Order: sequence, then C-alpha cells, then structure tokens
Amino acid sequence: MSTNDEFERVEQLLRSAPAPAAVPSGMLDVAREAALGGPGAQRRTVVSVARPRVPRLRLGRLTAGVAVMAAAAAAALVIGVGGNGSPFDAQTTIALAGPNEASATVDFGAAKQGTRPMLVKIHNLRPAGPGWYYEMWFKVSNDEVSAVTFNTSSSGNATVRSAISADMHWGTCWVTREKVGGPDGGPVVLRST
Amino acid sequence: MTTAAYAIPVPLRAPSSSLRRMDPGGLSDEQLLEQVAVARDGEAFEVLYKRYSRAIYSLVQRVLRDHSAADDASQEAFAAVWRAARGYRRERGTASAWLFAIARNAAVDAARARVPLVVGEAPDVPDHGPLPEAMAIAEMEAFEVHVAVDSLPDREREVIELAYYSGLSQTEIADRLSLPLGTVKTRTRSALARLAGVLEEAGVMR
Repeated sequence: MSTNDEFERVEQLLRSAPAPAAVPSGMLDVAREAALGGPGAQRRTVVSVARPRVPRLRLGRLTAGVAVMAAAAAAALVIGVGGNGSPFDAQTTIALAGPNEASATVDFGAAKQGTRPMLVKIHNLRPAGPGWYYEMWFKVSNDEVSAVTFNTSSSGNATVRSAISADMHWGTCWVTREKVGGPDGGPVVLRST
Repeated sequence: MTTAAYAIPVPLRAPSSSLRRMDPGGLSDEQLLEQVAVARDGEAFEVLYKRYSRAIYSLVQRVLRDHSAADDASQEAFAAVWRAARGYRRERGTASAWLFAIARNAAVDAARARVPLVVGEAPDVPDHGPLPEAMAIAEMEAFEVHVAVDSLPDREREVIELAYYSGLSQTEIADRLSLPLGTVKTRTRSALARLAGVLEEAGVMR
C-alpha cells in the first residue's frame, strides 16, 4: 500500500468512526475502585484483588492440619478475595515495617463462614518493578503460607483485600519481593513488628 | 527451604520487538495486561485505563445509547479487565482486540439486563440495515481508530480531532490554534502517518 493509499484509508476510517464520547470525569477513580477495591466499589460486582491462585505453602513436609488450613485459605482466596468495598470492621490490626520508612498494616475482620477477611494497607514501598511483585507470608507452625500478592503504585501505596482461613493461627508475618516465575524466597521488605 | 507450589506464577514474556503504543514506562498494551494478570499491578491497570477509556466508553455508549447505563457498563468493563486479565493470551490476538471484546460483552450484558421490551409481531418487510457482521466490523474499526487517535502526541491529536470530529478545515484549525497553516498541514500529515502504522498493526488497514 502506497503512502497515499494508506492516508486515504486512514482518512476513510477517521470519517466513518463516530466522534468519541467524552469520558465522565472521575471515571478513573470509579474504575480503579471497582477493580482494586475501595469505597467506590460498593455498587459494583465483587472484584478479586489478590492474584487469583491457590496460596502456596513453602515447607518441607505438609502436615495434615496445615493442609486443611491451606485448603481453607485457598477457598477463601478464590471465593472471598476482594470484598465489595464495604467499610472494613477491623477486630485486630498488626503492623509491619521495613527500610526507608516502608510500612504496612493488616486489619483482620470477624470470621465468617470459615474465613477471616483481611485488609492490607501498604505505604512507602516502592513499586516492585516490571517482572516483580510483592507477596505476603504468614508463619503457621513450621510452615510459610502465602496469603496475598500485590504491587504498589508509583506513590508507594497499595490497599488490597484478601482472606485467610478463620482458624489459621499464625506467628509472624512478612512481605517478600518475588520475581515472576522465579523461585520463592525473595528478600524480605516488610516484617511484622 | 523447599517449595510446595500449589500454583506457579505465569512468567512474563520477554519484551516484544513490535511493541505498540509505548508509554513512558516502556510497556506495550500486552505487557501491561500481563502485569495486571500476574503481578496485580494497579499502576499498569491505570495506564491501560488511560489508553483505552475513551474508546471503551464510546463503544459502550454506542451500544447502549444511554449515558447512565454506559457509565455502569464501562465501569464493569474495567473491573472485568482486572478480573479476567489472566485469561488474555498474546498468541490469540492483540490486547486491543481482547479489550474490545471485554467492553462489548459488558455493553451487551447491560443491554440484556434492561427491562425487556414488549415483543410484538415482526414486521413483514425486509430490514435494509447493516448486517450484524458488518456492524461488528464497524464497531471494531471505530474502537481501534479511537485508541489510535488517543495514542497520538497531544499536538497531533488536537489537529486530527478538530479536522475529523469537529469538521474544521485546515485553515480554520490554523485560526483556532493560532498556528501557521503549514504547521497544521505538517502535524496532520505526521499524525496520519502515525495512525497508519498503529492501525496497520491493529489489522484494520485492509
């Protein structure tokens, strides 16, 4: 196709396409909240905010008890992750801290139908970068259970909703930076205080 | 420490040599979708939103012909992008085509959810309107054109919109923007060349 032919075709396409509609102001905020969770998501469908996959355990031997908890946590993640943007009624809150004033809080809500919702708020944690992501882990007995994966915005902040098994008793909590497709065990960037 | 992985993250693909609509961060639409799918990257989602919001909103509004319904359906379309990003496969088509399908489905679902019309007897006359296939092609082309126009640098997009959406002549555009006529012509030609490249990659130049 010659340049003139190309230009004619482009002009034809431009003329046949109707003028685009103006996107309502504030649509980005609404869309962001609908996708990522937040107050604006109340009127919309529940949206997953954690990576929709079964949480992993990294451990030498999977005990029966932990396997049950993992299955419950998996169900929680698959079914309950995301929330509908309704106000979060925190019953317990833990804090995490890391270098360069990076911090996070994890709010745990009331257990319901075998799961316990949690709301993770991260601050001052720079984006993981292309090909990388952050992952939150809990120590359960001798096992390490992955609870949620996320990334932060350019401002270093993120808010994610997830859920754990209602009867999961964990000891410590930390966040690692993981390479997509790489082995687990990335550097710890936040640790419970 | 060993790993008992119940699910293995899908590896991000190596950067393609034919990246489309590069953003300052250097990610193509396809890479952004993969970032959303794998890393649940809110920033990548926002970049996608900025690139596609007008095209998606315009498409949805054309289908629904209702501002309020279009608002909801567009919002649902972007929520669906977040939810369903893992379902995108680069080998099956461009990110743009995938996003078009998501948006159109959201619009069609919204249209179906409306109060059903009372169905009367079908008129006994032929319908000379466009066939559904032709309508779908026209929708797809309009969607790609809007996305392509939004990918232009601001100063080029401005002259294209004034010329083709507002119907101004090049002289009128020059007056409106207080630019020499030659500059308007140069920007228009540069924009058309850029659009040809983007639309060629989108497969709508045939």
